[in-house]
Amino acid sequence: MGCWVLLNDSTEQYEVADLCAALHKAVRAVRFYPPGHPLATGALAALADNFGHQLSGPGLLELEVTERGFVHDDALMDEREDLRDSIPFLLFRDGVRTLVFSPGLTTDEIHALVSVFAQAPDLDRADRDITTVLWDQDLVHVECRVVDPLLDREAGTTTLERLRASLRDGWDTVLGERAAWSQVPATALSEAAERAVAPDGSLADLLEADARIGDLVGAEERARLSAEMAAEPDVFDELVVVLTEVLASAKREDDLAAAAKALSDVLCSYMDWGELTSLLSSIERLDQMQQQVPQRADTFIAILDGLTDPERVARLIGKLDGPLMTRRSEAEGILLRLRERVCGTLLDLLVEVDGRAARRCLLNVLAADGGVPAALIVPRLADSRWYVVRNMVLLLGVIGDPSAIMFLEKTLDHDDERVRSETVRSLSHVGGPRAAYLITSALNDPSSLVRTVAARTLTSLSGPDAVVHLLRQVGTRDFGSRSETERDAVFESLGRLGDDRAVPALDALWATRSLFRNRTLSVRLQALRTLKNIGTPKARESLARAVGSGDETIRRQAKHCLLETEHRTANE
Amino acid sequence: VNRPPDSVPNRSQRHQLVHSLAVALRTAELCAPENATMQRVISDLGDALRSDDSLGGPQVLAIRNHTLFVNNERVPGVTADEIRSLLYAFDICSVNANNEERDLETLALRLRQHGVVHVTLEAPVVEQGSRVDDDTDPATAAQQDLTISGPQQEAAAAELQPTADPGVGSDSPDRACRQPLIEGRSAAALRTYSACLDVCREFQEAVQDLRQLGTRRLHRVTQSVVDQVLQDDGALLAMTTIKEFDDSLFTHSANVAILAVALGQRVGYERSRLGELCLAAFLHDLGKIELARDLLDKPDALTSEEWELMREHPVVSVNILLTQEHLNPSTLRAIISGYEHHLNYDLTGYPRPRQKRHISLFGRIISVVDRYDAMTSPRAYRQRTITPHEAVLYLIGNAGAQLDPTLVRLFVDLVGLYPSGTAITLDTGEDAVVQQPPAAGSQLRRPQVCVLEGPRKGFVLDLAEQRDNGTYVCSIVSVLQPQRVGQVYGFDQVLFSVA
Repeated sequence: MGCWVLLNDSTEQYEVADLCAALHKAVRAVRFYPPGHPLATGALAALADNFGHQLSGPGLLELEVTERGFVHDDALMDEREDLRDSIPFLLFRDGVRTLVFSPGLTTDEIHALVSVFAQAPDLDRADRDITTVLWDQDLVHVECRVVDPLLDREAGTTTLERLRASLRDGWDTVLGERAAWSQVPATALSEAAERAVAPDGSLADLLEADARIGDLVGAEERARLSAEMAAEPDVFDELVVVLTEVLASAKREDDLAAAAKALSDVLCSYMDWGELTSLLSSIERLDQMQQQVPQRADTFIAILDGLTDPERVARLIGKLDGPLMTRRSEAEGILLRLRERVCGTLLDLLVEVDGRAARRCLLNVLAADGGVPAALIVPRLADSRWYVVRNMVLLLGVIGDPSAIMFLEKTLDHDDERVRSETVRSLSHVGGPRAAYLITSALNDPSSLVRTVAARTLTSLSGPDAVVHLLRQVGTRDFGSRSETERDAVFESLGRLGDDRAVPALDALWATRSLFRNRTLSVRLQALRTLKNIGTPKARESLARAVGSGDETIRRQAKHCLLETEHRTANE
Repeated sequence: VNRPPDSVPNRSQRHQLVHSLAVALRTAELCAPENATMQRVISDLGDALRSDDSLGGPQVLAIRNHTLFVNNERVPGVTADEIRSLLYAFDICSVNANNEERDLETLALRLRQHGVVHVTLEAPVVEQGSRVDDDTDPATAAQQDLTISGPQQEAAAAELQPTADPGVGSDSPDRACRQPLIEGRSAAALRTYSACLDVCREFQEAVQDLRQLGTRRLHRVTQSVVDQVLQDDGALLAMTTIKEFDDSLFTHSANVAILAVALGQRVGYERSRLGELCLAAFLHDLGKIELARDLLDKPDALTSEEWELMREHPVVSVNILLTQEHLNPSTLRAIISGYEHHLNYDLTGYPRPRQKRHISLFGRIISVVDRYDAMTSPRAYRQRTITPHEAVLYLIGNAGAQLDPTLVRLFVDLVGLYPSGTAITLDTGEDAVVQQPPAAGSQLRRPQVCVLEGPRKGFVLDLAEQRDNGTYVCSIVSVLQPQRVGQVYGFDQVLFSVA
């Protein structure tokens, strides 16, 4: 708590005291509340009002800094019991004796000033002080008068005296030898001058008699320099380049170790900050360097260890669905490069993460380039959550290892249809007679979703028997009442197979009427389209017959399909 | 911070305007109205005014903390010399430039009132705070932007009273001789320089004892260097003619830091970035501390093994800095530029990069000034130390290949063709030493020199001074080689007796 010590009651002193109180309040608010907190923004706004009022005239506001508090016009403005909480004390301790504020003080400058004061108690630990940090802020409307800008000590004075004596002696020596001074040999100068206009003569104008100070760099050259300064690369990006070079060229072990540790720290920081573009390009640079200096491969690999820390990877993945969404493609690029070393972590995360973007990223990474070892996946197939099992099934399919079939066979009996349907897809990726058999059996699954996937994938596996299995589906009593998606899947597969054995069944389908006309019409039309896709002479004959149908819709569809078939045949 | 793309040319134009104005004011101080040089600078100023697209309203010039603002926008790269010229004009016009902002018209009015220079500012600003009418004939406006003529002789003489008898040519204006360097100014520079050496010594001890480098004092010192360069780069630049005191590594580090800041200021860096540059330059040779002393001071050529060791010092610097606590962006920049300072612009040099890469601007700046200071410093293995003039010619000759050509141009713009410390013979037969680079707008080969002998011993002459007929009062005829060293101190002897 502060107490006020006002030595007289002039209005100006009350106002300055108010300003000092507002300054303390703002510093505390910024120190203890996060950026943007209403208390912090409110306190800063109040301080800005105070400064605006004080500096509205042409005069300056001068605050003397003492150990006890700010002094204005010989009056102590405030006093704090706890010195650690006292801005004037901290300023005094660091050598500041006066703060001068001039009109034009901007809100940004006020915020920067408060921010420096707020971190003042911690500056010691960073081997800094308020004076140097304020200087860094370059606040043009705040002058900070310091008692000893150079932090001179006894040794400083000694050096100065010795230097002065040395210069005096040096001067006397040089002048004493003046008789022996020589003109610089003409040859030396002329050679230097000749070199000065080489190699392309671009700076020859500097040697012309009328070249003048201030005119040597043209507007275009200056603009180019300004543009370079404005676009100066991030210091960490430049550091990565240097450290990578050091790793490749250092000869001493401790130089190598220091660079490796620093580089590892930078890369981990990149990941923690979400600077994924920089991280990705840094890893690529490391890869390139590793190829150039293969004898240091172990060092390059070890640098990435920090990135594989499970908690760090989890934080990265967690950010993908956060409000500050990191670009997924870059995260995938990074994880792909680390995949061999973070497979287990990624699989664990795949089990745990909720976010859609995060799961997609993990699946893409785990499924890329032949997937991950089955031994890591299988234990997770027993998970009670359907989506975990579904994801593991997907990964087993990506691996394409025939040994995975024995695990997939079990998940084909999973309670959840989404797991079973993913199992069918994975089986189709693995392939082989056993997989084909299992997919065929899935055509009889109670779930339409599973049957649909099975119908779609069957064609690629089960050879000549596939048409038989599909026709068996068409022949079931409830086929007409199944979902259109499922029926489409069956018909599309029959069309793709192009087997004449399907024609009679299809011929019968389009020709048959039903009491439930609407539903049957769609089946009959699907049958015609399938005949068109089969496209054999036998299928065309069936279509030709349909052109003569008494049903106008069937006739029109058949005509259209036949034309398309004939056109396709002619082209072939 | 990314700046809008159109702001770069604007800033460049504003810098040109400030430069032209500073040159005009300075030239008006030195030359008669009808002098050809005067006519040319007036013409240049007119061009600068006309080329500034934003000159549709009042141009408010303000100087705060040695930074120049035009219409509240910082103009980077304005030199201490240019600011001094403006402040001088403000001062003699009783304009308090530190506390109040004044527009060009006010300045023009004050200048007119004091009769130092005759300024007519008719368009586009006609009255203070008011714009010219929209229907003003552009052609007329273009012809009447700003006219400046030279000083009215009587008034100028009163303002620019010389302090010593010139003794050169009866037709020479008395202005040819200037006051010696102000005692306090050089003393402050020497105190800062001494602090630089102390910091270097502390760093060497810390590295040798495997202690952490204390950066608090280093920051204080680097910030003092920057502040002094911004206020008066000439005084501190003159200190870089000190080459031998205690350990040559200390003087080299201090000199490189000062030169780098001065060059960085020309580049256009703002104050805080100059602080970082100073720190980086200070630490650029940190790795040499771990090299054996007899290797650094070896009088003979180095063997290939010794060269290998020598070439390791940038990497060693990286290691030393990486093992420090409290790494921050400033230290990281020091690591980067320390590693790069022997890398040439064309990526030759050492440590040779294995991949094509960009060299940081800090690295390129330090590379230029490091080379200059190393060449002009006595070395055990050299028969003769290169003179500052030869070193500048060397830099020019290697621009584009080893060195960034733009930075070399800016460096020559900073030190001239005859940098501080160059011993020369004048066409008057007198020997002199260069103390200050040429002022803004002066020829590169016309610095300010201090006479070393004869009746004018100790007098400071500005070689840009012209007689009324347009000829120069004095010129350099040759460069001298003071024995083993290549130069003499570029500051006044009065400094040695300052308590």
